[in-house]
Amino acid sequence: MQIEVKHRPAYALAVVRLDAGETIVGEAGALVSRDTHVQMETSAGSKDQGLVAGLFSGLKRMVAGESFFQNRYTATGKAGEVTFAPALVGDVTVHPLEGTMFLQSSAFLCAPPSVTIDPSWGGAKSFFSGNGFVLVKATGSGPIAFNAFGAIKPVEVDGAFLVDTGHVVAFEDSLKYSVSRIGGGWTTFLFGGEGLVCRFSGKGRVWLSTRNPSAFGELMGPLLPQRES
Amino acid sequence: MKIEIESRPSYALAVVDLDQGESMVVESGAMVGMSPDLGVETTFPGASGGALDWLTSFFVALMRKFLAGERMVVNVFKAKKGEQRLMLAPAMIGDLVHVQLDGTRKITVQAGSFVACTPKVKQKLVWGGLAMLFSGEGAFFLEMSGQGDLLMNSYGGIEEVEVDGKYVVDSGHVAAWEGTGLKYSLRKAGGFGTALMSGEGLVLEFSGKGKVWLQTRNLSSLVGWISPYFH
Repeated sequence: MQIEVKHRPAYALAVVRLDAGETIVGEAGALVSRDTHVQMETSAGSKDQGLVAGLFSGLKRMVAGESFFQNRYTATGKAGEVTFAPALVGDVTVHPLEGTMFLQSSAFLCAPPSVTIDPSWGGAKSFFSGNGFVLVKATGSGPIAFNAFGAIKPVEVDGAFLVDTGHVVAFEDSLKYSVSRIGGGWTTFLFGGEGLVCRFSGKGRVWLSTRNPSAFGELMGPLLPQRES
Repeated sequence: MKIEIESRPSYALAVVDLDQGESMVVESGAMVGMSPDLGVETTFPGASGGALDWLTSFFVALMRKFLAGERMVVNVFKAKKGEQRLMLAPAMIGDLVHVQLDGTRKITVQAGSFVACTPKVKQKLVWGGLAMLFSGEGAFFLEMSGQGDLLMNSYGGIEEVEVDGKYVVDSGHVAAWEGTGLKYSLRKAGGFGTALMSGEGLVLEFSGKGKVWLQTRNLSSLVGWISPYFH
């Protein structure tokens, strides 16, 4: 399996080339195109899970801000191609995962079934910290593609680095993280307009997005007409 | 201090490297990522010292907030140690421009286009007139002078135009301009009929010698295009 990203960073498209018999799992709604012999199957859980376990997987994904259903695409008989794109304008990055990493919910685009995506319950503290900072945990081995609003920039952390929670896309689990105020006094917290930051420490990689979808929404919202109720 | 701009023009990000003691005055909300040994302090734009200065800045900030809906405060990031990195981006999609002020230059920026500057850059608020207030493009301009670095943003790309003589720019496409001999006046794009049918509203007519930075997209047009779908 190979994933190539074209049209970066504004209108990124993930082009997945599958060998015969290979499968890729894509986020619901992300499919752009596929060869006809790449067959699609929609389910809440994975193939080898029972019905109840499958439903539970779907519900867990929903809580984490992903879709209830996921689509599996399998190249039948011969090699084939399938392409994916996120809903928002912006970038896609592929990381060759070996082990565990964390993604901002809604960042997941596609990965082979050898990578499992689970809500990160260890991140419950961040779940309640506001600012929509909810994480999912990706575990396994294989190329994982994720997306963000804006361009995606990898930052190698060695020591410590702070990222605005609205700009965190993904990070390796070798990093410790905590969500806190940016620092400064209470004036900064109340009026500084910086919200919360994620403080990473240790050694590893963080991917951040150069734009914050909520900040863009807050900028555009007041300019739009009132909704009809 | 070193400033580099990446991911141009759609999603520009400024990567600022600061030495110990150096600082950056940043538009509220523009911090994307930073090293741990940067101190943060929230203040009003232009408040640099005494109590009177602080009070003046406070009232100017209040005016900007309530008349033009602009951000009231800035955050000052100061490096407590060497090799500190600060990443900045505006909320709007688009480009960033880095300009160096040498003490003689004076650049007028649409207030919404200011992202960051070094502390020795002076900001003066210029009232754009009632017409600008109702144009939806922002009622204030910031006159930037002094010495140091200035970062400004645009919606879309940024086009630099050398003006010698007269030049007309749609008010929604002006990001900034400079030139001691460069004057501007605000007027309607044409007569009543033209304003109604051409889809063009207010323009800035420049005359003299200087430079204008244009943004290749216009926020009011984006809003106008999205609004009918918003129900």
